[in-house]
Amino acid sequence: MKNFIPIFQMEMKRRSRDFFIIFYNIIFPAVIILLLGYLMSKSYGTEFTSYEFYAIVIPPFCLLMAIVSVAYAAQDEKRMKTAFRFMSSPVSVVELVLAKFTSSTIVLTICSIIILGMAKLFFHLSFHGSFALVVFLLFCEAMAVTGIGLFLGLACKNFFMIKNFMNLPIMIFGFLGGVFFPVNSLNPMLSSIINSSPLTWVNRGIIYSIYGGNYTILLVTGGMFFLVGGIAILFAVRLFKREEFI
Amino acid sequence: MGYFLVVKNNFKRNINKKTGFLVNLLLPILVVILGIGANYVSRPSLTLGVIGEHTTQTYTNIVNILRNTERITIDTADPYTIKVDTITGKYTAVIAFGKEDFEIYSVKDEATIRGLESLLRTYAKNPESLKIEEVMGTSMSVSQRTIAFIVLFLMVTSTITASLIIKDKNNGTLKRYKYSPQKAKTYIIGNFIYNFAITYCQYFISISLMMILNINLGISYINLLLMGIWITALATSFGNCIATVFRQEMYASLFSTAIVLVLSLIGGSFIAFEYMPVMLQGVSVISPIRWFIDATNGMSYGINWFSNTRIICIISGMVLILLVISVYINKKNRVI
Repeated sequence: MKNFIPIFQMEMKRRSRDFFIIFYNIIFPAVIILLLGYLMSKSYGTEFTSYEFYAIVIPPFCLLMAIVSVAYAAQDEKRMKTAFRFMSSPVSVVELVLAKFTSSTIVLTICSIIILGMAKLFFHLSFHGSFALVVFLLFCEAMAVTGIGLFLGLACKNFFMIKNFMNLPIMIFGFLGGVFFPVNSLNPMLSSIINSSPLTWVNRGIIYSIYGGNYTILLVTGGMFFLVGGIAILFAVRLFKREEFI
Repeated sequence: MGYFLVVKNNFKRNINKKTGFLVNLLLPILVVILGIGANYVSRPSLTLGVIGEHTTQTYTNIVNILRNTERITIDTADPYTIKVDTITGKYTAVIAFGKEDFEIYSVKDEATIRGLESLLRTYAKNPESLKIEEVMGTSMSVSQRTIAFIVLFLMVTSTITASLIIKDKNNGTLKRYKYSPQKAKTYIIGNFIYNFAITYCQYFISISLMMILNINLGISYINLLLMGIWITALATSFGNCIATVFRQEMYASLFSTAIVLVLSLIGGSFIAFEYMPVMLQGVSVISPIRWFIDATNGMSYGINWFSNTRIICIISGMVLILLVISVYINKKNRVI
């Protein structure tokens, strides 16, 4: 694994300077929280404000949107025409994929921590001692997002078709997860559709841990993301398409 | 003639990619399904949780009549998760019944809680079902929500259709085009016509499918098709403009999603215009979605699409501005 460290360092530099990762995970969520918070301010009371609600639900949604950015980050070498050098160097696929995976996960988690800090500072979101747990959940989500993004970018043959339509299921998950306004139903069929969105569970996990002192949903959801991220990265390594990479 | 060549070549390039072409055709079906789903989920309704004394007369009067009120659902709540359930939207409010009176818990604004309380007090005295509109807040009609959703969707998908412009930039086609005796305007308008044709087909299939499935929007089919011309022109010029700005499809796709989301929020897709804060009502004039929602509202009262002269002028102006920006950027684009 001696090649891992230099590639990891290079990827860290690249990701932390990636304008779109920074824009989509810090600036965009802050703008949307402000906008939606202001827009819905008349519908919420003073005990729990609309700004607090959107500061909880928007960061996980923007994190999920990063799947597209990571899928493109996976193809950096192809875009920069340096893939040949990687292919002919003694760097293994595992080292290459793991360096991308860890750097993207770390940068995305840091972005989430920054936006949560901003939420605490500017929107007065109180975590009631659950800050570390919320960060843990977002870290696990970042793992799953990075894993799936790398899988799409490195191992998916129809990447160019998939990437165009990735935003649509993410928006649907966001809508069902109650990102734009709280969505819930007692109707069993509708309720199971709503429950199919991972964002439903992330939002419930965060709200239950902050306001209900119940950490089960958060931990189980975090565990599921951890598992999905792990499986996706295994598949990405296994199905890595050298010819696609070049 | 130059426009026609661009249209013809774009069509040839896309028809060879069968899967992509099929997905493009399937998109309208997805629009309809999502539109119906979005309409159903965002339909104003109240879900109330009840806890406490359930043997009193007040409880019996109120709960029995609530069960028979349209668009109100009643459920027994868990007293330990009241706050969480009201935040997640499981219940709009929780009614805690005491021996003689009741209390309401909700994270909603005071006006909604007061409206609900007055409704419940009326029910306690006079157990007759009333209308609940004043408690609901948002008052967007099915047609307004559907049209807002279609505009949002088409603006995102038209950027995907316009990605041929980005491909042209990256594979050198645009460079060759610029060396030929053609103008930047011809290239942009050619792409606009091609994207317009594809997007209008998607719109046409969506609207026709809704008519076949008997989803009543309260607007005549002809008026919907006429409005579709402006919806498609707007979505297409927006997609073209985004595609001329960026060199990578990812940037175009992410940026368009972000812009469309913001335009939808300030345009009144999620909350009715009259319920928006005053400042945002002023800002919303820049959102085309706001004008389409306005036009839909007028047409649902029976007026013709062409009677919306002001809205038609505003949307046409927006299309023109976006096209001029696209031509200007395309002219200035480096093609090396």
